[in-house]
Amino acid sequence: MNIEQHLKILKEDYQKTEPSEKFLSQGWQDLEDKINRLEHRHPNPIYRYIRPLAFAVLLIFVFAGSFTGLAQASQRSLPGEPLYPIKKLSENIISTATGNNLVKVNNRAKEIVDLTKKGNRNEGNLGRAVEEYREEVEKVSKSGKNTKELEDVLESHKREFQEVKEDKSGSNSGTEIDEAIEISKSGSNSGED
Amino acid sequence: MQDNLEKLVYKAKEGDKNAFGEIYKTFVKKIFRFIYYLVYDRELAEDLTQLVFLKAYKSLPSFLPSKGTFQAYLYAIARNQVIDYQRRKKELSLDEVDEPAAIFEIDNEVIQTENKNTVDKLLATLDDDDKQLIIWRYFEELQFAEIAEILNENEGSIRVKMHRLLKKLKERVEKQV
Repeated sequence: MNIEQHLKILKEDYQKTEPSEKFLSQGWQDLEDKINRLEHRHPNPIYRYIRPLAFAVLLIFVFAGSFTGLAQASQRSLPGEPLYPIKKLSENIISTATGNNLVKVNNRAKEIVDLTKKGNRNEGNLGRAVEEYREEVEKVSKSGKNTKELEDVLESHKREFQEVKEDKSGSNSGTEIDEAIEISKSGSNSGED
Repeated sequence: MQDNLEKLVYKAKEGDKNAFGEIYKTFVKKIFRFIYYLVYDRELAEDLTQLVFLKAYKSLPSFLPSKGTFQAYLYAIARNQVIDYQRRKKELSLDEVDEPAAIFEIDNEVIQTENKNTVDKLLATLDDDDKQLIIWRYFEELQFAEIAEILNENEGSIRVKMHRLLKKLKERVEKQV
């Protein structure tokens, strides 16, 4: 007798194995009760979506929170620093949401002041900040919006630039700060035209 | 039979409990037998069988007929259920908890009295993986493709395993003779 024939004989034995009579007669009833209890516990099929949904919302909050934290930390960053691109991204979002580019003008002015104080000229960051400051001032000026606000902002920038220039008068503060002062003057003048 | 089963599965997926009851009656003995020969305890096998059907009902929405047969789906759940049980049992014995150990002793007595017939003798010599292959292929007459679905392996590797297993069994039977 080969092994397969042997297994065929054993198959008959195997199939004689059955659960108890009690189980066979009551098994489905018991299971149905369990299923009913389970469904009664969570009668609304929406329940099964609540947990994944709650998890997704939590995840969004965590991401949003992380981004907000990162965005806040990035506000103090200067050109060339790792968080600087996040600062640019968040100011783009703010200016698009508010339709106001003054946030960019203010940020560039702060950067010019900070970079000048640091004496950080050799990497060209200060020059680029001044150039961007000019562009942003021109944009706001050309848009014709927030003219009065722009004038006030540029006036305060002019004072800040002059203060920094005086503080750094002994050192090699360079031509960038003079350029920034000129932009703040011309910008405020253009508003008067 | 297959068409009827497909209709029942479709209805059960829509929440028809009577249809699921029909499915239960069709498969309950098969699932019980399969579990029984892995745990060798009638009462435990009955409890695990109920759990298999409860799980099958709960996860019916995720069952896709295009991915395999309903029978393969049930056997896969049963197999996982037994694996979970054995893992828990192992953890308990590692923790040296007294009460469950006493229960296992009783189980062993049951095994010894029930081990008298030949099918027990053969299956008791095999490890769980080999035992499952023999049960599915020779006692329940599943296709290789269906066994492959249950084990999430390819059909070729199941054929190779079966070939080796038969060779091993043949040698054992010849020795006994």
